[in-house]
Amino acid sequence: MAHHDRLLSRGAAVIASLLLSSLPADAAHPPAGRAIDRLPEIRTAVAKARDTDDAATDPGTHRGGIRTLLAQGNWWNQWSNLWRNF
Amino acid sequence: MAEFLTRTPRPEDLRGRTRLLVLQGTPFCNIACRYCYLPDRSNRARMAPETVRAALRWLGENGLAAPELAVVWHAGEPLALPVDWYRDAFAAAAEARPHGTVLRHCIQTNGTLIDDRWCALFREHGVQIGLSLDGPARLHDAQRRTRSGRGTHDAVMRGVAALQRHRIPFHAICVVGDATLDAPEELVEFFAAHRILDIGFNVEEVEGIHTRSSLSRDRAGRFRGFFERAWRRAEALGVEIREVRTVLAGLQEPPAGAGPGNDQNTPFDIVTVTHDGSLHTFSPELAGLQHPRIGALALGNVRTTTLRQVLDGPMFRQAWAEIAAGIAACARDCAYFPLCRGGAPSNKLGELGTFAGTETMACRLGHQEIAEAVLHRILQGLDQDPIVATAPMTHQRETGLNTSPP
Repeated sequence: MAHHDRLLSRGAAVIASLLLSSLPADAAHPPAGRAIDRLPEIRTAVAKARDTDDAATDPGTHRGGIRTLLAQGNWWNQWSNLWRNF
Repeated sequence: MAEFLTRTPRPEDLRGRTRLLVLQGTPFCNIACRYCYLPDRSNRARMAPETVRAALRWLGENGLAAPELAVVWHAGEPLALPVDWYRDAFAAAAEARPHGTVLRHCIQTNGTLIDDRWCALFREHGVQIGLSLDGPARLHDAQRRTRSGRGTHDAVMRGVAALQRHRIPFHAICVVGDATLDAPEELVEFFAAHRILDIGFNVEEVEGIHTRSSLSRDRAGRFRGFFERAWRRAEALGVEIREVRTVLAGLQEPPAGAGPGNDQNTPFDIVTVTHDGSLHTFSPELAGLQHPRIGALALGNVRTTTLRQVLDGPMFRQAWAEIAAGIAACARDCAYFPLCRGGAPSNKLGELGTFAGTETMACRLGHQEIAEAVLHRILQGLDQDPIVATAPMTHQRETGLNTSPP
């Protein structure tokens, strides 16, 4: 690749990077369609997250990630908290 | 699923099913919320201790009680009864407790009457407390008023202070109506400021005698926006929202032996006994209701009716036939069925006039919009968690989701 082309390519990459970093996190991955239609994929991911050793003990490590979400409360035991719906 | 929904259950199918017993100590309520669904809240009748005993014995003699049974005092304002009434009632319940069953007493209260004496009772018996509180005074007092029309916020906050003074944990249930939708941050900041860190959002439902909801016209996604903003603020302030946990729990498989439905539409998962011993199952909000088409929804009385008689009776058979048809229709038509498992009979009857219907406003707002918010967050979070993306599946995960606590 000619030096001129490499500079153009690097410049484009830098611009793209700057554009992406200026977007809010939600806009970088905008929700498309109904999430419920991806339920099997989500169930698998949640199962993996729960099986990861530090899932509930170190939520700050992956702040904003799925394990931060799963660290919220005693959610796996909701079956015995039936009365709290009334 | 087909067999479960197409035949009347037998008593042996229901062994150990009941995990929630709702006891209506009194139908009376000392306040008059604008969205209240209770039909009989001026009635000052009280449940007799013998009826408490009969309710527990009925569950035991029919083999219905689960090993852990939550007894919730509700369906009227439970604290409108004297403190000592509960000492007698708890003793009666303990005396008639089904063999091998552990009881846990819970009270869902409007909070206006909580004082040091009540707190002593709660501590003495380990009573779990749920408090109805709609947020700051301007939102709460618009709906939750005394019988003379004055706001109840000050009285509830005195109750909150008493609970906190006695270090009694509690959660709050907040009814979300149209006015709440514009104030998610204000709402969550209020709860956080008062160290109420465990809250649930109840959609203002169409149920019982409350036939119109201020949310019925929500077509612009305002509820979804409300929930997402409230959740974002709650995470920042350390407030947990019940609905998030509920969706996450729904991503697990149900416990072994669970049917295709949920607790509200599966026969005898919940049993409600009103002050006079009348017996109900399915949604507790159906207790005491007189429906124009169906009539009184009571299935019998704990003093006189056996489980076999209930199951063979016309009221149960009609209700179950409709409810089962509704579950089957939801399973067929609704993408959210794996999470909600057929909705609430009380919402279906209130909004659609039949148990056999499918989607309600309560479904759209209270389940679907919230599920979308939580599931979208999970999808977005996947990209930010490389360990989850690469973690190997354990053998257990390859064969099925875990249903037991870690």
